[in-house]
Amino acid sequence: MIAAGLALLAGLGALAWYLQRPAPRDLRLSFARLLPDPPAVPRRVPRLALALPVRSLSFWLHLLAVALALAAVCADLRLRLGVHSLQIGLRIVMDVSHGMTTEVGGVSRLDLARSTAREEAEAARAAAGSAPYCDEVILAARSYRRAALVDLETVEAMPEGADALNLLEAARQEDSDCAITHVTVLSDISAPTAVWPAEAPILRWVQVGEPTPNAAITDVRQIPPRLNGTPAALIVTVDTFGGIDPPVLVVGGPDGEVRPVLEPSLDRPGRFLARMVPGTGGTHLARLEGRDAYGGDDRLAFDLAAPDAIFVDWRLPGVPLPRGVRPSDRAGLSVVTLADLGTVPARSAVLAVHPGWAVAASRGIGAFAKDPALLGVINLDVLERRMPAPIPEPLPPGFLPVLTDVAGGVVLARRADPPGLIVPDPVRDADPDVTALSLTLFYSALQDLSGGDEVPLDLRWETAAGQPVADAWKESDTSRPMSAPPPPADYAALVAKTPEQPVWPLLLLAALGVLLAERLWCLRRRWAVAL
Amino acid sequence: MDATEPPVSRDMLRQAHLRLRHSVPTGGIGQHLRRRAGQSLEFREFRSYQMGDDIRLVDWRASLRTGRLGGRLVRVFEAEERTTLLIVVDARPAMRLPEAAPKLLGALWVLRALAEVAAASGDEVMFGTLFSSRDDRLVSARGQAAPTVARQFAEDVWTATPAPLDTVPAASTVSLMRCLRPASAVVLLSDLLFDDPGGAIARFLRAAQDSWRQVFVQLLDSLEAELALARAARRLRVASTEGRRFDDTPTEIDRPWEDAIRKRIGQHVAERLEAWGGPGLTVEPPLTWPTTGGLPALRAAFAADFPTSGLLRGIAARGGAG
Repeated sequence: MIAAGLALLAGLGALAWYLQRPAPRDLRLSFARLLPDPPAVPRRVPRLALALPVRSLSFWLHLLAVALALAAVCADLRLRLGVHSLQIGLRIVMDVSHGMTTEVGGVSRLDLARSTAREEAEAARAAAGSAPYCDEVILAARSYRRAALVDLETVEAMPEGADALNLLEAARQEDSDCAITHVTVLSDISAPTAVWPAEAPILRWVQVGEPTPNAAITDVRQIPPRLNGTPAALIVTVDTFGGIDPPVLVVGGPDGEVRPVLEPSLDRPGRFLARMVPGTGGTHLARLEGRDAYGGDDRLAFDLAAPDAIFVDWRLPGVPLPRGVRPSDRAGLSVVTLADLGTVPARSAVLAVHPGWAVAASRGIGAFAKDPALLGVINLDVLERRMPAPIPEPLPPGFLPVLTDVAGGVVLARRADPPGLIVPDPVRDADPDVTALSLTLFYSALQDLSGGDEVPLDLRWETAAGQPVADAWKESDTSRPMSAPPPPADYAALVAKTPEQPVWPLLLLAALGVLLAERLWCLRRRWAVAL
Repeated sequence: MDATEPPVSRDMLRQAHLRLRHSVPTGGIGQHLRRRAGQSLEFREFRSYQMGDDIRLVDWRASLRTGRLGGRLVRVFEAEERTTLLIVVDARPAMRLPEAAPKLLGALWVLRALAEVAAASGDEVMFGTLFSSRDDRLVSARGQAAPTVARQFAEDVWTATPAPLDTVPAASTVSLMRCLRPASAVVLLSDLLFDDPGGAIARFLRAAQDSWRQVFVQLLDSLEAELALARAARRLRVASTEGRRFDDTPTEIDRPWEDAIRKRIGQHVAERLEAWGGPGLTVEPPLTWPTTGGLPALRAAFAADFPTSGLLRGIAARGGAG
């Protein structure tokens, strides 16, 4: 709209310009002496002439330039510059993840993909005819590598899981000697909904492999023991796909094999959880009994190294041990008074207490740092009223203030490495608010330092033959419904998809050319007249 | 190439020679045979021997055929004489218009072309100017020196600083009148747009026609070319010219205005020629300036028109001396 307005203004301006009478030209004439006398009262000539300058070539050229500029701005015209000859470059991205070994009736999904790849290549070659043609094969799983079409017969699945993003990444590779016009992805994964760039080669996603039920061990979690005495737990997740009953789970370790009960999970249908108390630390193997469609996810090895209790070097005689804590002189965490901080091993985590509640201090809260583990559950209004006394001595090396009072005295302090906290000592016989504050601060600090979170386990899937399969859980869903096969590739449409050039630069160029022609014509005319 | 070098073939000019009427005044020994007894090899007549005649001129056979004893006849030959051409160029500042193809340049081309013709026949040429701000002494040259002198004269006139256009040009004919006596013919190259309030030019041209001299007036006509310039401008402010002053009022160019100009100029030229009229006056068809194309077009038009122009045909002829 703005462009149209500007163009209209330009057109009106050009019209007004050409409606002007030209300024009189100074001229020297050899016969001027014989010119008739001008009228005594010169006739007033209006500045604008009402006649359209239809005989002015400059006017029409300027009008044409304005029209071209207007068309360049407003008209969304595109021009196909010539008909490009047909040229086909086919890239076949073959999913060679471990899940492609899934067999139905003795035929693996890799075999299906292999034959489909050959058909795709033959169709493309036939469509190209005598036109230039090239193809390439990318074998993709979590990683990818290039191969030739003739190598498909010897291609084997890679011992790793993959997802659709891995395949799309392989499909989008640009470092190829072949000018890719079509990409065909052969996989047992359904076509993703990810947006494929419009300017990228034409993508066809061909899903191979009928849906087949499968059960898999998809996860194992170790829940550490809690301060309140809750023992450690081992949770094995078994997912079933295709509506089958859960198989029998067997977990073996140094203490022998157990067959935990699989309980249905609320997360999603088909998911079952087996909760068990971990035995002695060491390598464990969880496996599913029986045989299903895909065997790469039926065996999962993992190591249990974390103890099933919290061991602490507890040096606070007046404070009882929490139920889940076991005293140990060689524990990695020491709970001491601030005065005994120097006796703690250098690389050991430490929780030091200072007698903050023993001294009455009614100072307000000063500066404090964001520390959810310590202050997340503290009611600061109560703390404002029952502020403990600051640490009576300079902070030990490595500790930084977490909470100070208005006078700048440090009440809570933290050390990053090795982990350390300084908090007021817990009291039980004081004011209820003080008791609550002191116990909350102390046990929050103890929970933080004792590492109450889950310990990530190193999960290693393996086949029955013992071959490791990375990320096998990505291959477990072998019952994905088959999506409708994509229509055959229309290679002839490639000609029609010859990139169209926008016309506006040409229009703009034409407008400039018209302006230049007008200037040259004026120069020539002026030159001819002057001569 | 000099600006004043005529755009015509020098060989063509060299093949021509001056051919004036036999009655024009001549002098010296030249290539032009005259119906007078002279020293040429062209037989004229027999006459009776007179005392003092060269005895070698006696034609003894003719004398015997008379049958009279002592009736000796001598051969008399025609005279070979030289003609003198006076070329006068109108050098008013207005002759430097139109600016892209000045009339003065065309006049100087004619001057140098005629000098080439005169040089080929060994005649004498005198060059002079009307209305010139330079020294108005005439320059003369004879024979082969004529083209060189003509070139120098033309370049001097062309490169001289002209007077302002709005000054009234004053004609000086004193030198021209003084040098008129040896001239056989006078050629005036002008647009005839000047004024002659004292009649000096008319007196000079009438005097030039005395003694059977020929006077050729070559009109240089750039009227249509300048009208085309004015027409293209549509509205003009005309510069003051030769004493005629114009204010800033623009002049609207239209057909009546152009017709009025043509009529006025036609009348003016006719009056000039009428004032100069006499038995020796020959007014040649004008050399017309092209309306477009500037100097290149003028060169082309001159090269095409001058060899067949009335002036060249009236003054010169191809072949032997006449």
